[in-house]
Amino acid sequence: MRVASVDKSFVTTGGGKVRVFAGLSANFPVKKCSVILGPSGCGKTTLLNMLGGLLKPDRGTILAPKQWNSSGYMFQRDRLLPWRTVYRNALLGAEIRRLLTEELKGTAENWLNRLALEAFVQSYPIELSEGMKQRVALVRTLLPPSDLLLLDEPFASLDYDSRIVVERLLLEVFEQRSQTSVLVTHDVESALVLADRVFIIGRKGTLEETRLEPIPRSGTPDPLDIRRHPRFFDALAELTSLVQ
Amino acid sequence: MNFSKSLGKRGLTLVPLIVLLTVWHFTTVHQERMEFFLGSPRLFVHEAVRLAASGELFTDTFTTLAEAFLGFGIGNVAGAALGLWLWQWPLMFRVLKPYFMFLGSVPIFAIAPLVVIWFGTGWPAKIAVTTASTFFLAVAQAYRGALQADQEYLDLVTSFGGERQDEFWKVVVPSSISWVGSALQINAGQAITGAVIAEYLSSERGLGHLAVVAGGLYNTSLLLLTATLMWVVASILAWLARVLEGLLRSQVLARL
Repeated sequence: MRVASVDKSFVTTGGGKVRVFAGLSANFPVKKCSVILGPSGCGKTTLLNMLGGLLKPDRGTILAPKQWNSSGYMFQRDRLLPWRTVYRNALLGAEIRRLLTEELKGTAENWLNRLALEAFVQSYPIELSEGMKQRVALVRTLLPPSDLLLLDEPFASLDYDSRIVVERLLLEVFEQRSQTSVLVTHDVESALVLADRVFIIGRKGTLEETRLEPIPRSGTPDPLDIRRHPRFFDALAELTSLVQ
Repeated sequence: MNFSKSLGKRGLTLVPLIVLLTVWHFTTVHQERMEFFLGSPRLFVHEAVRLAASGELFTDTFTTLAEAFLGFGIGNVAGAALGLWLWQWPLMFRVLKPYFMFLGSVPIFAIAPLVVIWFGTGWPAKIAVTTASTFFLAVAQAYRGALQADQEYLDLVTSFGGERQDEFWKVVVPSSISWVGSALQINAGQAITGAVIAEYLSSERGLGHLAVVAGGLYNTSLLLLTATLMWVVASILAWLARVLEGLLRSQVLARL
């Protein structure tokens, strides 16, 4: 997936113009997980919105493979529908895509269980903590198979244990579905666990791919095994200094 | 213990009524002039028994209730459907808005005689007036409710490749349920007013008709009885509105 010479600016309420990107170019490899790191307010969400087709660039193009016709977008805010139970919120994406099968319902239940939500399946979003809501939103996004997966800060409200569980699920889905995904985060550690490629958005609205070698993995890797890899801490230190 | 406590509290709310009835009784008993102006509990009961015996009490009450209920049903269903449908055509709503505002704010007793000319003096006219007195509020509330649909939820549906109809059924309709529900509550009262006004104009049955007859006979007790029966009808309709709103939330919303 290619982003070529994209400009994007916003008009503020005061009437001023804020330029987010100027001449932004990048190549997100197919069937791989690209992670975008950057400070808050640098335009990460804007970039995801453009990749997801919710925003149009002022100039430049975003090119996706022709056969692609679906994407799953996990927004920064959970956006769970307050009138739907956790279970029915998890099924929403699959319903809209007309893909809801008994098998997929079973998968939804299985994933909700794995993310420690089994006791809340019939609860409403208002009864959940922020972290729980975020996990439901993740299941909703992952459930229907998509050509492109966009994840905006999926770990923002999660404690360390939940983060490991979510990473495990993501690695499994990436592996099983050969999923093309773009993940935005400011969490360097999770970025290193999940990424095949790491991109960094600079203060001036540029996007640069790092030459960081991903941690070697085989089969369906476990996030804890990746963290135990002898190269992990060196890579983490390197990536942290790159981000700074 | 709790039961008797709540019974005690409820009993307390009856005290003003008992005081009122007692004062009413003693100001009118053996005083013809006062009884003429204020009626009396004795005559009130007498009229109630007389009408119940002849069956008029039930037919008149039922007639008004049926007219109000039908107008309430048609006005709310058609109004809410139109209001929600217009969400898809904001330009059309903007064009129609001043007309709706005009028609919605014209007092119903100004429209009622026209309706009698158009629909005659029978059932259709009564239902047309009650429908007119509920329809415009239902449209406005449903449309406003539809506009409350959160853009973030609409974007969510779009992000999954959802179309306009997915946005409508999965976000817009559920978002507007509480607005449609509050229209039901307000319209319960509007429907009774519409039905009674239509009956004032021309009717052979109904509480509006009974009130006209009682007024013509200077029968204060009968007028008070009619007002009480109107309150009963209004209470039934308000209860029905609450039940319907509950069903909207528990049955409809849970499936969207």
